[in-house]
Amino acid sequence: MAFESLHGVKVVSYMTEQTFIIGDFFAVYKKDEEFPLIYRWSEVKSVTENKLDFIINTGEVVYKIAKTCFSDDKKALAVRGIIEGIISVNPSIEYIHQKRILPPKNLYITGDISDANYIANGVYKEREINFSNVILLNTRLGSVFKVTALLAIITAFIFLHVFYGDTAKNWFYFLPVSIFAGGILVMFIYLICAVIANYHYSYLFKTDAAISEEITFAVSADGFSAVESNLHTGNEYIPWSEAAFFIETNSVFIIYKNNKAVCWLPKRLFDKEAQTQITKFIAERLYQK
Amino acid sequence: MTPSVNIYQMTVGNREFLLADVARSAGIIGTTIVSGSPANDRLPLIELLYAADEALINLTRPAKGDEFSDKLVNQVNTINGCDENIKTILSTVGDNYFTYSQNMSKSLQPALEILSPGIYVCHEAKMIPSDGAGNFFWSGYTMKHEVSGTAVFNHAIGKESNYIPGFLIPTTNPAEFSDNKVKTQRDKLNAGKKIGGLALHLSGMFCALLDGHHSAAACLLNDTDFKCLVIEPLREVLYESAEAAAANGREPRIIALSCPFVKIPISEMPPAVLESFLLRRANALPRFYSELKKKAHKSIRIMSRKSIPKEIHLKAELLPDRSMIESAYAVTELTDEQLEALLAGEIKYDDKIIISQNYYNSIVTACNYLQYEDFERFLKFSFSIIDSPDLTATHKYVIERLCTITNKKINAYFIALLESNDPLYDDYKASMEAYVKSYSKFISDALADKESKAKKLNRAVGIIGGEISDANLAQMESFAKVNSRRS
Repeated sequence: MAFESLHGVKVVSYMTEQTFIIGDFFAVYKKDEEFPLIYRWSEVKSVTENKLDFIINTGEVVYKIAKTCFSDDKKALAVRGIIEGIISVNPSIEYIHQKRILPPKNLYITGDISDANYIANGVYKEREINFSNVILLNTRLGSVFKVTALLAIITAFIFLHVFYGDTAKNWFYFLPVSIFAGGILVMFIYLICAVIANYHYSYLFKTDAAISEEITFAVSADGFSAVESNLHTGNEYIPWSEAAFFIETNSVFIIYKNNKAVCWLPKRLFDKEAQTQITKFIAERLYQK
Repeated sequence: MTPSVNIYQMTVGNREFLLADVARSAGIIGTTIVSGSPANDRLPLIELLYAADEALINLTRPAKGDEFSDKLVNQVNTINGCDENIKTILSTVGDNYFTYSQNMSKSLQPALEILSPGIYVCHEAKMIPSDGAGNFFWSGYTMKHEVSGTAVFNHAIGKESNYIPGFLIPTTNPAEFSDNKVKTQRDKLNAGKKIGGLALHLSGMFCALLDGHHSAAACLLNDTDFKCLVIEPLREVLYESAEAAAANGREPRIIALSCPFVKIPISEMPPAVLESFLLRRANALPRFYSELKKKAHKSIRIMSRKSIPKEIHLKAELLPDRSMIESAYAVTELTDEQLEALLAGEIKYDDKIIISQNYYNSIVTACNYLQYEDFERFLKFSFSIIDSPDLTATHKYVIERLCTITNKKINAYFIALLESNDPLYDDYKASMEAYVKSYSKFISDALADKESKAKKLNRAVGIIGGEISDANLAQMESFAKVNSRRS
């Protein structure tokens, strides 16, 4: 289990008049009761973290802890870290959470990354994530767009042939019009996808408190990490075996697992020479897409 | 940050102790897991006792082990390699409490302030300065080996019974043994002063001796109880029984916090301490985690040719071993009726299980318990088992156990069995013959060197004279072990 140095968090829910302690155990004090009901995490069936709440389902009772109950974002992030650490050793707990930029903490293991080869601190910039995301969109959907464009050109050509006829005489006009129509359609689809992707990541920036924190990024021979600087101990990392491949864009390195991005390393935090070395370093461990 | 130590005087059942809530401490002394996870049995779990950035003791639970598995133990380094202040703090605790009769709470305060944050149960206890297998504790852990009794929970004692983790693991190098320091401590004892040590519970029946190594040797040589202030981290939890939980249609709930010495029901915990317990992470990493991890696999280097005197080793062999202590805690009482039921091949008496549902375990535990509590009953019970042709499955264990004790009655009994030529005992004939031979050699050696042996080993003359009394039974046991090792 990683992140075991995170101190437990006590939180009072004024709505339900319950007090919760989230640590090695999950304890619930009911109103005016001196002694709590203590659950082992292995008793918990599921944990859901959404924009507003942590929802902990023990099978008997569902406890909802509103994020507004925490005195500050750091406490809520600590609870997230504790829960994800616990889930790494209790895989039977169903864990549902929103999409993240930072890697989930249940991927981490405890080890020594204190003398990592490359280490940097900084905050994510919304633009670099969004821009990278558009580039990723191109990479991921490039062939789909090409096929769509081709189909649109053929469809437009057939349409012109059916409605205007005399193709042998007019093909010189039909062809550019069809190509133009296909191009417009693909451009339109691409713009919609880009807007959705932009909106999606902008929404993440607004809702995930972790992204506005200073992050410590580390890359070592054993693994990599991207954790909130106040939680960084140098003793937790994600081993390379957890990652599948990586993509390098102009502004970030994106490390993937199961076709999902698990870690975004902004290049601007490292100098030019380090960037070259990191590319080489990661490429020795993962294949590049 | 100033450490905060809140100490509560508590009594649970008939056990009196101090409950200390240590917060914001520097965490100079404590234990940490450097490899593996308690929840993952596929990897070895390596736990270290550390003092600042020095790893002192390595406890390794093998892969595929669980909380009932014994651990491999070895000394990594000596506490004397640490900051002088740490040594001073630890040594003043024992002095203040035992020599200057300061109260326990005040005496322990400085030591608690340098422990890692946590909840601790503190009490005074009589310790056994051995490794649980008849060896003097100080020289027993220089090589990594499996130490019986180090499992977190013990099958015989169970999770719910209270016991004192009395066996010791040293935190200083055996090469640091000094005859002069032992003499100083013995002089204190001879002058009627009290001496003792400070121990921190590590695992199962074992504590790390933080201070008082020479005092332990002095007490052993003076045949005096070696007492320690014992600090036990309160880190385990006790669940309600599966039956009680099933009756309420739920999973078993946590009902008490537990350490070997005491199980404190949740309802009796001071609420503030309970809250601290719940907020604290059991495996929080210490400040020097990276350094400790690198040092974890080293072994202590013995830099001196000095060795611990033979007399101490001989005395250590007198001490009760792990199985005897285990059985003494596992069994509260064994009446003659219960013993008769066991001899009749029953595991129950009066519709209640006597010791265990397993008959062989019941016999083993009963033998160990009786040997520890009442030697005469032990002999009588053992002879009755061997006499019974229906209990052949247990003959091997009982005969082997008897072979470790040099005793006139056992010798006479074995001679009678050998002379009977009963085919039932053919498998054990060699063991019994070896015993009779070694006993006879022991007697002749003892007679030849009667004078010097009488001086060297207390009450030896009584044994050689053939009179068996309660007072010399323990001495006999010592002779037996020495004798069996020689042979």
